[in-house]
This record gives sequence, C-alpha cells and structure tokens, in this order.
Amino acid sequence: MKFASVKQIIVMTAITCVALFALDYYKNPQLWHSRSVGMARPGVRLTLWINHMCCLGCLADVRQALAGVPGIDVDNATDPKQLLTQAEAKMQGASLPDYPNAVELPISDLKKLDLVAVDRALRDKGVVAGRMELSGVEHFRLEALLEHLCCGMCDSSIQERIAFLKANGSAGQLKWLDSVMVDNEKKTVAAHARFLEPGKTVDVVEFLSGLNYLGYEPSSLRIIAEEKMQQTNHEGE
Amino acid sequence: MRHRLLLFPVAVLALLPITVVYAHERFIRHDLKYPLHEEYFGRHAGMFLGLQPDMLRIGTTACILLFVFLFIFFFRQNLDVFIEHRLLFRLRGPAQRLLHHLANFLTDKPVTLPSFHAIGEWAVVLFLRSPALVLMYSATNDSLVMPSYPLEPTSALYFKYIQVVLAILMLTQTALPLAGAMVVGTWIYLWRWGWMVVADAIPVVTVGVVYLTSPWQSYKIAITELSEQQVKWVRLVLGFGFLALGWLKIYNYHLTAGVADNYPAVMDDPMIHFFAMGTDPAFRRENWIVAFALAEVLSGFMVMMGIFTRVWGSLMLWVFIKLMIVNFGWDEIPHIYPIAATAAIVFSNKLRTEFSFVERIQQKAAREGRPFLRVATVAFASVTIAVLAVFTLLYAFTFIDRSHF
Repeated sequence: MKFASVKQIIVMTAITCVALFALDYYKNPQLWHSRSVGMARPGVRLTLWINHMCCLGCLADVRQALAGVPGIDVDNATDPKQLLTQAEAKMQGASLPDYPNAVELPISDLKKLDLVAVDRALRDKGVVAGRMELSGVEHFRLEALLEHLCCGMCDSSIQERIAFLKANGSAGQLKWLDSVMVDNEKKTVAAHARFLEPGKTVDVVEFLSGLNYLGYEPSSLRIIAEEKMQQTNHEGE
Repeated sequence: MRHRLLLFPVAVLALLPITVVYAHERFIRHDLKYPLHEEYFGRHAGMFLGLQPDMLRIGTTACILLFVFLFIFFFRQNLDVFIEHRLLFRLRGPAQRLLHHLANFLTDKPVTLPSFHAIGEWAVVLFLRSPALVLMYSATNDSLVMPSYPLEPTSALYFKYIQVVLAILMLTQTALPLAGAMVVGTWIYLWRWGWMVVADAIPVVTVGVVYLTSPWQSYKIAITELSEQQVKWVRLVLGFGFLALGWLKIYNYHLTAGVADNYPAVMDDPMIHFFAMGTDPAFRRENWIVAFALAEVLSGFMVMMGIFTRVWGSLMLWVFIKLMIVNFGWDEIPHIYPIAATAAIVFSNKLRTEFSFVERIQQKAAREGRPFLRVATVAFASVTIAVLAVFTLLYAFTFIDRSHF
C-alpha cells in the first residue's frame, strides 16, 4: 500500500488553500475591497419594469401615479427611450415596443419610501410593475408590515414557506434573500438581503409576490439600509 | 527536512490575509429577541476568580462532575474486577456475558460481540462517506461545506463544482489523500472569514485526517476499520472541535442566546438542567448559555482525552440526533456527519486514553502495596485536570468585554 508523504500532503493542502483564496479574490472583489457601505446616495435607485408601457400616454399615467409617493424623485426619473406619442401609437397601429419598458427612479429618501405604496399607486392608475428592482444599497433588509400575524403558526409558516419558495425558485427568484425574521409583536417580517454588488439589482416584487402566495398582504414594505449587521456564525451543535 | 516541511504551512498561514471582510450576510443570523444581562459575563468584585455567582456554581458543578469521572476512570480496572468478580460473581451464562460486555463498553475496553463489530464497521463506512452527502447538500443550497456558510452568487458556481468533485472522490473512495488535503485546505481557507468560523468548522477536519492517512489506492479496498492511530486522531480532533465549540458558546454568548430565542425548545434539556441546578432563575438564559457550553466542553474534553469515550460519545450521539430530529429539523440534516464520526469512535475497539500515565502510576503503587499513594495520585491528578479544564478559560473570559459582539 502506498500512502501520501508529508511533503505531498502539505503541497496538496497548500494548493487547495491558495486556489480557493485566488478564486475568492478574483470572483468576489467586492468582498475584498469594499469597506464603506453605500447608504441613500444619488446612486440608490428603484427601477420599475412595466410590461404595458407602449407610449407616452402610459408613461404620463405612471408619472402621475407616482407623483404623490414619498421617497422617490419622479422629476428626475429616467424614462424609456423611443416611446411613441399617444397620437402616433393610435394612428400607426405600429408594432409593439420591446417589452418591458422601465422607469428608473432616484430614491430621494430611503426611509420614507414604501414599496407597497408605489405598487398601489400604480395599480390605482391601472398599471402594474412586473418587477421593482432596487440597486445601489449594498446592505439592507426589506421590512414588511403584516397586520395579520395572529399566532405562532403564522410566524413559522412564513419562515418555512419562504425558504421553500426560495428553494423552488428555478429561475433564480429570491436568490438575493439571505434569511427571514418574523417579529410577531411588531407584526413585521424582515427579509435580510445578501450583499448587493454595485450594478446588480434585487427584485422586491419577488418578495411581495411570495408573501401574497403565502396568503399575506403587507400594508407596507420598507427598505432598511444596514450600516453594520450582526456578524454571527453557525450554531446548533 | 521534516522540520522545514512542517514550518511551511505555518508560514503560509501567517502570510495569508486573514482579515475578516465585510460580508456578514455569509452567516446565519441568530438575533437576540430580548437583551441579556451583560454584566453576568464580566468580572465581579469580591467573587472567587471574579466570576458571577451562578457562573461559578455551574462551573463548580462541571468541575466536580469531571473530577468524579476522572477519578472513577483511573480506577476502572479495579472497579471492573470488583464488580465482575466480587459483587456479581454468582452470575453465569448470558447474564454474566452481558454484564461483561456492558462493563467493557462503559470502560472503553474492547467489546468482542460480532454485532458490535459489525456496527463499528458500518459506522466507519458512514463516517467516510457522509461528508459527501453534506457537501452535496451544501452545494444545492449555495453554501460552502455547511449550509450556514452561504456562497457569494458571483463565485457560487465554482465552489459548488469543487464540492461536487470532492464529494465524488469521497463517495468512490478515489485518491483519499487528495480528498483529505482538499478538506484541510478548505478549512484553512475559512480563516478568510475569521477565527471563530475556523473554530466552528474544526470537526470537519476529523474526516480529513482519516483521508490523509488512507492509501492512494483507496478505491481498490474496502475501508471498514480505522487503525489505532486514526482512531486516536479522530478522537483528538473531534473532541477538540467540540471543546472549542463549547468555549465559543460562552465567548460569543449573544449568538448562543440568539439560538435559544429562535429555538426555545433547546433550553429544555435534562443534562443542561442538571448543570444549571440551584442557579438564580432571573438569569435563566445566561445560566443556560454557561451550562450548555460547559456540557459541551466536558463532552469534548472527555472524548479528546479518552476518558469514558464511549459513555460521552453516546451522550453526544443522543444530543446530535435530538438536535437534528427534534429541535432544528431539516435545517440541521448535516449533523449526519458528526453523528457518523462519533459513532465511528463509540463502536471502535481501539480506544486509548491520553492520561494512561496516571493509570500506570496508580497500578504501580498498587503492586507496591501503597494504597494511600494510589488514591492521592489519582485524586491530585483528577482535581488538577478538572480545575484547569473548567476554570482556566472561564476565568480568562471575564477579562474580555464581549458585549459588542
């Protein structure tokens, strides 16, 4: 029988270790270089992807709907390009634009922004955002206020079934979600997000739809930026 | 040459950038639901070693328990002879054999039952292959080694493939020394996330040691038994891992309390109640943390040093299975691995103790007809070991402010 020599063992271990470090360093530069946490700065944005937004009339409705929503700067929103006017859209019977179209909204005050209010305002105008993508906040949690959290079973059902939904997200839904915390006293469900890389987005509709799927309608959904999160490790043994 | 080779990994470790980076979401949260009495874990003027009275009480209970176990263990040969040949000498047939096997089991001596041997072989097979299940489970949950270490989306794919390759090596028993090096290398890589993560993952190294000491042609042979040296290393590493985990529970007490807040059922454990008996109910959670931690410290210490390894190993098996099935459920399915490792030790017939010199001294004194020296030697050794094992770190921790952890 031939056994590994000490030299072989050390070399193989060192190669494995160095390779993992190199891979980590190369693929996760944000973890090695990022020290400062991006809070509500001009770069914090909410992008609403609305499948039905074919002309400037639709855009006007969207802007009108969002005008009264606190926390977002509708005036400085970035509109989709090459939208037809209402008249052009009526007369030409033209081909549909590339779906979906998006409105990118700067978030002026993260604390005031209620994503449920955004969703409701749009629905009241007859349009729905298929995706609401948040970007520019590295560390955050979504905090949903659920008036209906009457018992421990409500708590555990959210914990367990959100994990189930995540596991079944074949198209990558809820991949950003790290963990869910339920506070029965405050009637809140906090969805802790993983580190959000610069340039990447989190679709908050996935979480809203998930809660709806489980049978809950949040009365508000707020983004809580986290300066410093608790560092903990595995426990249970 | 050998010294230079041993210095190499030390140098590598020293050079590695072991800074903990800002990636807290990598770990499972166990947020406290209610604040703890922070002063409980600090220094208390006028108290013995500056320990809080309840902590001192729990520590004393643990110390006495450890002393009793050590004392009995060092006289295990004499106790065995006394029970089998004096107390129950009238027993014959199956009852006598059963008692003999039971005594051998409890005193870490070889149990010659074929069924025991068969279970031991099966436990080794499970121990060598179960890490592959854990790796595959982690890979499908976008985690590294354990589900509580989520991978970054940017690198998840690569780490998952590496884990799958490693799992294939384990399942097919191919190039086990390479698999062992990969396990140990991955464990060293965990320094990246801080020393507490490394301490948390020490039990993972246990199987790595066995792989490293397996033959290159491992795929051609059926490994159903561990050598004496392998059993010793498994015992040392696994025991040290749980000893470290136990102390971490007190060091990082917010986390431990967070677990209890999220899983209150873990607080109802008869063994932990025993450790915490007579303490002030006003500090129920704090007492539970210390009792839980010291229970784990004792288990780890006993297994590491080979004192009633089977008894404490069986207790650990019970606790792991309970945590996996009753308390945490599916989330703790990776506990299959420590269960397998502990079972491989419990059902091994090659158990030794690191304190055999104490036994030798007392047996020599017995042959020389010096009974007082026998008892004094064993009592002194037991007290010294018990006090050092329990109170050294308990005392040291009171000087460290951990309220900000």
